[in-house]
Amino acid sequence: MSAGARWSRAQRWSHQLSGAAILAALVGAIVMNRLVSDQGLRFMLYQVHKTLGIVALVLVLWRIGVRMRMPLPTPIRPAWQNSLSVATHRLLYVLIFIIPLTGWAMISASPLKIPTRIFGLVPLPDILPTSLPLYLALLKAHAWLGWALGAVLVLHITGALAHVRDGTFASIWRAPRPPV
Amino acid sequence: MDRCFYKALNGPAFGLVLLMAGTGPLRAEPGVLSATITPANTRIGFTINGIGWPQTRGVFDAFKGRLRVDFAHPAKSFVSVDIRAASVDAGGASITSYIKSSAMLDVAQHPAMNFRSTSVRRTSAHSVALTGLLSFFGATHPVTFTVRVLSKPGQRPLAFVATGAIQRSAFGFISGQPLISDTARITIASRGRGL
Repeated sequence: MSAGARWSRAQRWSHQLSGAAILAALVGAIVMNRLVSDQGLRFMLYQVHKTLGIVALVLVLWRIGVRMRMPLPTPIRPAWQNSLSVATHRLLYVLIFIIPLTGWAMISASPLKIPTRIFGLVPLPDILPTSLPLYLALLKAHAWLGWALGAVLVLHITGALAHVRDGTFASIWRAPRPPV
Repeated sequence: MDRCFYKALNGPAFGLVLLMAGTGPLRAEPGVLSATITPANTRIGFTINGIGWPQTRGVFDAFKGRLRVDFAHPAKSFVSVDIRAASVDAGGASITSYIKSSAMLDVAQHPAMNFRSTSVRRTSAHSVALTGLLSFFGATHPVTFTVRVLSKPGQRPLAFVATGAIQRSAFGFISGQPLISDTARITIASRGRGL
């Protein structure tokens, strides 16, 4: 992606918004599972995490739609970094789509039957019947995929920071300058 | 220990004690402590284990009961407690409302819980086994509590901790199983005003 070709407004906004929801859900998952011991706060953070996950899923669907309709900026150089970038992005798209889905599936299958309300209001329907083995398998998958996403995000952010000078980093954050 | 209590209760403080207890007919029964169990002197809590979640703890904030301790004849002692199920508090609005909901305790459907003792048996100088009927979630089953008396013989106020466990399935309260354990432990700690 050279400085000349930039992402569209919709692409930038969908990246920023879905990224914020994904990061909040990811960091929240670590906080609620590893750092918080108060059961009331912990339970509440799980509910917030569920809302963040569904918000992320909606934003990711929008983002994928936008991405498919709009052209890509020109490739970065060298070529091997471009290949790595393409692979990383594909993996990211897969992960940010299936992680919220496994989360939704797992709370649907859970024998705990904790009602999920998006923003504390909108009830979220179950997409699977109650099943303990299914729940335990999905819980494991959700957690491992989360760690995988963290690792791929490190790669993504490292790549972005390595391409500050050529304007790639700025291209997703700022609107293109009008042609002179 | 009984003897000391007996002496203490026969002393001038006895009438005052019954006034403090403030229960029913103030009939001077030597060696007998009658008291009201309220949140002011008693804490009723539960703990329950689960998979993938640390032990859950909670308390009930609204209850009332009567306690009659016959120090000379422990078998004649009696306890009854009525608990309002909706007063459950698990230390957070979100988790508490889940516990009250139809997915868990279903307090709208089962608003009251109560315990009536049926037998009291001394097990050591400082403990008794208290058996009674627990009504909860629409079922009634016997539960035995181990009561440890913490206060020194003859000293007031009386302080004790009662611990017991129920198998939830016996009451038909199987919500969340097997992720949430079948065994729920109950701890009742009393000390202070009126005891």
